[in-house]
Amino acid sequence: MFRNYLHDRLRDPWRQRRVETDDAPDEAAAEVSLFELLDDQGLTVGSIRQAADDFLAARPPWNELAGELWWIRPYLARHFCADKSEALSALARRLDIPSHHYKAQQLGITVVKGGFPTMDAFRATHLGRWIDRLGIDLSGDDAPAQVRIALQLLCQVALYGSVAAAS
Amino acid sequence: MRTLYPSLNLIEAHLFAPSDALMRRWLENDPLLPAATRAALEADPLARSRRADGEAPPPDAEPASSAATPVPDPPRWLRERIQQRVRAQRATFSTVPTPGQIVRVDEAIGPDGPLEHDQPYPLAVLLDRPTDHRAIGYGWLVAAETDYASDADLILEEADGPRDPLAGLVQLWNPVYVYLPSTHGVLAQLPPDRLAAVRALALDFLTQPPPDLRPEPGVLIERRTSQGHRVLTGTPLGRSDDPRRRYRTLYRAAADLLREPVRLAQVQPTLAERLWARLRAAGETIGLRLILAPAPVMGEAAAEIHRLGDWLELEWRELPEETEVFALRVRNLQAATCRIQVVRQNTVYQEHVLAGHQETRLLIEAAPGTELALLDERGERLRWPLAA
Repeated sequence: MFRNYLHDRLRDPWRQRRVETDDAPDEAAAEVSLFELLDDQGLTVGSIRQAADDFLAARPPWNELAGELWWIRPYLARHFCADKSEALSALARRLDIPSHHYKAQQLGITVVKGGFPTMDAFRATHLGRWIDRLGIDLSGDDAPAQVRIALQLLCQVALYGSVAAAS
Repeated sequence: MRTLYPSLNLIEAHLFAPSDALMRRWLENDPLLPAATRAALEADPLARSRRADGEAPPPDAEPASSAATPVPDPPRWLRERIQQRVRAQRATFSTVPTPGQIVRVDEAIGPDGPLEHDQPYPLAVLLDRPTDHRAIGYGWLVAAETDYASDADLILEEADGPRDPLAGLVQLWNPVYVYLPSTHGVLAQLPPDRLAAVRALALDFLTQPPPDLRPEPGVLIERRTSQGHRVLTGTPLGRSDDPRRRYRTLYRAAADLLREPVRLAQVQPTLAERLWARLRAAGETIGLRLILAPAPVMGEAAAEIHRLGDWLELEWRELPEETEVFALRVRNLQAATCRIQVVRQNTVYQEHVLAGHQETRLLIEAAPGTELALLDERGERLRWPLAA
């Protein structure tokens, strides 16, 4: 399952730093380079997990999310950790999420066709603000990969909690 | 469709109608009742109706019932509930909040005391795990109404041990944080294997497609989680007229009652933050700055280390099991010997003599008036407050 794979990979990324005997780059090596990208920004897996925990516990400055976490967790899980994807509308129907499309836009996981019109539009979403506060430079070349790994860690904390996710 | 018990209107009244205590204060024209609360009661039809009942003259005296009239036995379901509650009350549960405990919340209590939110009906929370904040736990709301179970509600069973009837199902779609000083006792304690089953079902709910079952309100299904745990749940939600949808809306709103104490606790400075703020403020008045010491070059510092001028190095340690007690490592930065004292209301509770560059560890209760004192060889003293 993808989430187990992700869990194992993220458990101790530094353990993945090993000399590959095969000439072809494998997935583990790719993950290592992703963590190196975070390292370049002064980020660690621990600091991202802590920021994820603050976000998901609605600690300052995320107080406004306190009443929203019941739908934010499933949205995050479905988008970044689930074994099988589920259409947003189906998930919203199943969980009885009113104004689901607007909520997803606010969170930052869906937009009108064509993607976010500007970087500032993404920064205005909950996830955009979270990424911004982490210190990831959204205009940098490595931003897509850095954002991906940060969101996967966020999802992992949403599923397991920061302590369990780190163990 | 089966008729579900109790009705949604009754559940709504239980959760949100004015409590008996509040109604009494209103009927008695309690002058301390806030104007906003009074206005809300006056606007509420149910409250007005109850007030009218309360103010109606007593009915004409009815003939006294004969002493020989037998009192009817309570129905069987009620007897069972009473017995279940008595068994749970007699059980010995840990007084320390523990994962697997189902705790009861009767009233919203914040860090500075009761919040005066009217809560007519107790809420219950299954504690899943502690959080970074020692007084806040994470878990799911627990309720009594098993008829309203969906595929994301785990039904609690006989084998789960003594359990108050308030704890009937775990609402895995309703995750909550709870401020632990708001809790008022333990309703049940799930064993580790059952807590593992709850967590597995919660994970399935978040990451797996819904079970391939026909939506049938009021029907319970035995199934397996993807990790193999046997669980009893309801069926998936049906169309918009499925009563369990409104049930969820009601209980999500009820969960709001738990949020304010958590928010207040989160914005309150921690014991460490209060300590450093006091030391910083006191140091500035005597020209002795509190500065953050640079982190060690090798290894990762486990806690922040501060320096009081060039006199002392301080490292604060949290004690997870204690609330207002902390550990402080104190190091003498000077070559000369000094004395460190913990003083409260002019009584010296602890004293340590530190040779040059020697360190010691203090266990300190942050009780009012507690101070840290530094005495040099001549006995001259500097004092810093450690608590209000």
